[in-house]
Amino acid sequence: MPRNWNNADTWNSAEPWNGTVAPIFAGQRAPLPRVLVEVDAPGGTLWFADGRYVDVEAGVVALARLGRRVGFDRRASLAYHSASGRAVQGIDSVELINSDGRLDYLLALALRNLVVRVWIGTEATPIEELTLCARGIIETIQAVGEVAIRLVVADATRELAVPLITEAFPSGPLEGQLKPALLGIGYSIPGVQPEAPLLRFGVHDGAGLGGVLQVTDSGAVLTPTTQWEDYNTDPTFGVELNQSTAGKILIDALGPGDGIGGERAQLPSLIAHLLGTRRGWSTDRWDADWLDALNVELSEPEMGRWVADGGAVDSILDEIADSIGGWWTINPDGRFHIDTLRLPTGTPALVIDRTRLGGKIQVELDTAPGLSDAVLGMRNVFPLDPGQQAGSVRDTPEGVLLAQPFRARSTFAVADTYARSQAASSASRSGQRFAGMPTLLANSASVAAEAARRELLWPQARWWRRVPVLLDAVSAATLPLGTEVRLVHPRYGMQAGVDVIVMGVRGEFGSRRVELTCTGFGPAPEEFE
Amino acid sequence: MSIGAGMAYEDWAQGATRTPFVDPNGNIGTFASLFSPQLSDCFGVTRLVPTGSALAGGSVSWGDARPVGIVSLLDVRASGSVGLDVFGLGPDAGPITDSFIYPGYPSSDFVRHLHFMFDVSRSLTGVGLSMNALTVGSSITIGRLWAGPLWRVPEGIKRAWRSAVFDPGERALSPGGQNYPSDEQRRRWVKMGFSHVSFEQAYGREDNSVLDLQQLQMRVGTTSHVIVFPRLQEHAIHRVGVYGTVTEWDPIENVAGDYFTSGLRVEENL
Repeated sequence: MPRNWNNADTWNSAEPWNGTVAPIFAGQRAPLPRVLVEVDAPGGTLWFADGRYVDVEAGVVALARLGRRVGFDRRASLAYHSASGRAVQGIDSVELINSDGRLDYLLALALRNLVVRVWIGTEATPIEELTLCARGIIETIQAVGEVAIRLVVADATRELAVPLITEAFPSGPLEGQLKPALLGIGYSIPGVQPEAPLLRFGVHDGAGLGGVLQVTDSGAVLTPTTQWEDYNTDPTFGVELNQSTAGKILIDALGPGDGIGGERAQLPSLIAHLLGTRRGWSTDRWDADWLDALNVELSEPEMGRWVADGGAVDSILDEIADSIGGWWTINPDGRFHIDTLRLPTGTPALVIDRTRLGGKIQVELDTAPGLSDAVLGMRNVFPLDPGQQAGSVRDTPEGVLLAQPFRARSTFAVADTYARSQAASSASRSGQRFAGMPTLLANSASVAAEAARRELLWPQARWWRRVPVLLDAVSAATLPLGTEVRLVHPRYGMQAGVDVIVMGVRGEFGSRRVELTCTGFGPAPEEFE
Repeated sequence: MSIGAGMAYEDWAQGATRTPFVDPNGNIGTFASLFSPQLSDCFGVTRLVPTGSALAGGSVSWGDARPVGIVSLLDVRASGSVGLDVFGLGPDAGPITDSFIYPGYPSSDFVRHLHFMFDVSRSLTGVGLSMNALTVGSSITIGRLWAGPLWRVPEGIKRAWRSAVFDPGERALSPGGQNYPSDEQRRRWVKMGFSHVSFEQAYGREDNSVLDLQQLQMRVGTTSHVIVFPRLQEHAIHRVGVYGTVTEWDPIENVAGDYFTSGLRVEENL
C-alpha cells in the first residue's frame, strides 16, 4: 500500500488560489524571446535553445544549452570588389554548455555536413510558427575545455562545393581523365579526342547536347554534314570529322538545357542544369519564376562555360553571378537564390534615422577595384596564335576573332575618383589570366547590355556606409540582402536622406542591434556646404 | 516559536531507479528529463487521459528508507486544468494529511514550484515516490522532481535575509532616446545571514546529533543545487523559496562571546 502524500485539491490554473480568492497579481509579460538551433542529427532532430522552450503539441523539448549568443554575418561579395559573386550567410559556431557532460555523446554522432537551422520565436511560439533565420552546414564538432561542445558551422553554400564532373573516360587514350562538360554556349572549344586516331571530338560528358554550331580547322570554317557531322555516342558527344584535320579543331556548341537555342545559355536553364541535373536537387529548391524574371530584367544574357578541369558547382555559380554583377546564396529555407546589384528605386523598405540608429556610422569610399578599367567580355579561352591558323583565314573577321582573347569587349568610363584604384586593380588581378572583369557572357549583345547596366551603377563615386541599427530581433536576423533602406543622418551629406542597398548584415540572433553594410552613391561636394 | 527557515540540500530522486508509466497519449521529452537539474529539460504529458483511466507519470525508488522532509515539483507548467497526485512509497504507513498544498504565484513571470513540505514533528522516511497526472484534455510539464531531507536553520540564533530580482535583459538607446529593450528571464536571489550561532550549531556535537553549518557548506559547496526557504510557513515557501545554487558562502566566523556568524547567497536556477 503506497503511502498517500496526496495533493488532495487538484491544482487548477483557472482558479490558481484553490478557487477561494480572486487572484490579484501583476499579470503576465509577453512571452520571452527564444533563439533555437535545430540539428538534423541521425536518429532524430536535436533542438537547443537559449532558455526554456517546450512545444507540448509537437512533443519537442529544446535543451536550454546555448552557452552564448550565436552570431551571424551575411554579406554579398560582388565581382566589383572580390570576383566572387556569392553571398555567405554565415553562422558563428554554436556553443553548447556541457560542463555536466550530458552532451558528450554528441561527439560520437557523425554530425559533419549535416544541416543546422536557427529559428527565432518566443517560448510560447509553436514549432511550426517559429521564424527560420539561418541555415548552415556542420563542419566539425569540438569539445572545448570540458565545459562546452562547439559546433563549427560552415556556410550553406558548402552544399554545392562538389565537383561538376564526376565521370571519367573508361578506356582509350584518355582513360581515367575527366570528361569535359559544356554549359550554355561555348565558343572555340578544343574538343577532346578520346578515341584517337578516330577523328571524333567530344565537348560534353553526356547526352542532350544542344547542338554544334560551327567547327573550324585552323581557323577555316568547315561545312556541316559534308566535312563534319554530329556524333553523339558515348563517350564522345560532339562531332566527327569526315576528312583529315589540318591540326587545330575548334568547336562552337550549345550545351544541354531547357528551351530553344540561346535559351539554353540563359540563366534559368543554366541554374536548372547545375542544380537539377548536376547536383540532383529537386526543382523546389530554386525559384524558376524568379530566375525567369531576373533573366528578362537583365535582357536575357547568354552565357557559356566549358569545363574541362574539374571545376566545382559552386565556383561555376560564382562565375555566373560575377557575369551579372550579382551574388548567389542558399537561403535559410535551403533554396538557391541569385540576385543582382540594382539602383535604389526611391521606395525604401526601411527608414533609418535617429530613432533607429544604434551608434555611430562609418563611411568609406567604395573603391571597386576592377571597375576602373572594366573589361566586360566573352572570353576566348583558347585564342589561336598566327602559327595555328591557316594562312588564308588569318585576315578574315573570323580569324581575327579567333586570335583575340576576348571575342567582344565593352568598356565604360567611371568617375575620376577611381583613378587611384586602377593601380590597385591591376595588381590585385595580375595573377589572373585576363585583366579586367571576366564574365561568362557569350555574345556581344549580352556584353553590351551588361556594360550599359553597370555604367548606371557607377556613374559617380559610390560609398560604403556601415550603420548600427536597432530593429526587432526577427527583422534583424532576416533582413534580406539587397534590401533598399533610406539613411537619414546629419552628417556626410545624408541630411535629406540617401537611399542605399544593404549588402551586409551582421549581428547576433536574438539581439536587436545589427550592423548593416550598405552601398550607394556618395554625395556631390556641394552637398556638404 | 519563531517561523523557521530551511534548505533542501539533497535530492534522493537524482540517481534513483526510475520507472515511467505507460502513457498512451505521448510524453514530452523523456522521463529522465524529470531528473535533470536543468528545469528546461522538462518532462511532460500531453493530452492527458481521462481521470480513472491509465496513468501518466512514473515512479522512482532509491531503495532504502531515507528521511524525506520535502517533495518538490519544480517549474510546473500546465496549459489548463490538471490533476496531479504524488504518493510516497513505504515503509511508513498511513496517508500524509498535513502536507501543505499551495499552487504558488499566479503570475507567469515567476517560475512556479510546488512544494510538499512535511511537519517537523513527523519523522518521515520513504523508499521512493510516484507521481500521477490525471485530467482530461490538458498538458503539463514539470522541470524537475525533488525529494529529500530538509535542513532547518537552528532555533534561537539571529537570522536575517533579503531577496531581490536580477534582470539580465538589455536595453539599447538610439541617439533619439528611444529605448529598445531586449527581455530576458528575470531571476531571484536570496541572501541569508546567521549570527549568534553556537559552536555546536556551527561545527557539530560529539554525538553527531546536529547537522552543522560546516557539514552543510561542504555538502552543498557552490555547485550543488539547493532549494532555500527563508521562511518556512504555509504559502511563504512558494513565495520566497528559491531553487538555485549557493554562489557565495560567508565564512564561519568566530566573534566575541564564543558565537559564530555565517551566511550564504543563493541565485535562482532555471
